[in-house]
Amino acid sequence: MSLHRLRTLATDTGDALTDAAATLGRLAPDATAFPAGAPGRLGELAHALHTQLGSALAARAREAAAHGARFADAAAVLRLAAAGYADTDAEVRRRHQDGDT
Amino acid sequence: MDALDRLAPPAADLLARVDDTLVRCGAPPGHPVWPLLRRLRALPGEAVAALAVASPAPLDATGAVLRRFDEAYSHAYAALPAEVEGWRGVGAESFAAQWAALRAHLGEDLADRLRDTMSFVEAVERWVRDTRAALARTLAVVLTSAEAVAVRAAAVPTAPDASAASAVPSDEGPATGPVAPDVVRAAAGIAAHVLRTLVEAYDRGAALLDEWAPRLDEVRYRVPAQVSAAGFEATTEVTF
Repeated sequence: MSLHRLRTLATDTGDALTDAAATLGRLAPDATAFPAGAPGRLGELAHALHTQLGSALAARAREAAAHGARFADAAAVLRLAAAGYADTDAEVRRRHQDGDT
Repeated sequence: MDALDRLAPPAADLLARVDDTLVRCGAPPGHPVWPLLRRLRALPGEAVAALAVASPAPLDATGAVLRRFDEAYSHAYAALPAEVEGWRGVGAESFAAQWAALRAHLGEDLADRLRDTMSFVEAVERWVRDTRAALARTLAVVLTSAEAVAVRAAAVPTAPDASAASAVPSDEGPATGPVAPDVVRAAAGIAAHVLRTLVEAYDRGAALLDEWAPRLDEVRYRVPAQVSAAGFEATTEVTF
């Protein structure tokens, strides 16, 4: 697989994870899914379950955002590597052609 | 609409009378309702009212989005090559180690946590549905019980100074007057029946919290060990 193709995959994966992070960050269901208005310990439990789910979704969002950024960094490394080697290759080819003339 | 949606409205008046009787008259000493009341710290009527408006539908929607991302993660992972080809040399070796770690973190850590979160949402949704169903079954029994007839037939005092008025059966809502011991016992029996169902639901819900907590926290990325620096004699090979 070429560096260019790999860079495209890294970019796409990074973008997908960044998009996922944005959605996951807004995904926590409202409290109507739980008997949050219940009195006493049942209400406390409903609140705790709601909080646990909200924390889990926030953690998923952070994981996706951080990993999206890592893939974006990898894509940047691949772009630099490909550009650097392409420049070197072009320079060698140019010098070789200059030497021929 | 589920069974609780159908049964909660007709049970509301009965349970309001039960709550009122418990508040004003308590329950017979040693009655099974006492430990249940202490355990939940709630009256049956107000607890049922709160559960009646709790709908698992938003959890369905959350689960659907998570399933979509689970598929997206799987597809993204499958598209990533396990090894970096077309680039050889020390820089490539270092990148290959990073790539393998990036790929594994997506395909294993992130995907596993996402599936665990999805399973947690499903478990909570099931808990809400099961709790509503169990409560509906309890209300169906309670509504047709002899205790319900006794409580409905009795007048329940509504003011703290209610005293001498006679206990006149009324369909017009609570009235004033003393409460007969058998009505207090009937109200306590209904309360115990409802609260027992709620305590069982509480225990199942509390178990969910403990069971899932370790599988929902944030998973950390493990940075791969650094590949050693290249010598000048290293060969580099690139496919653009």
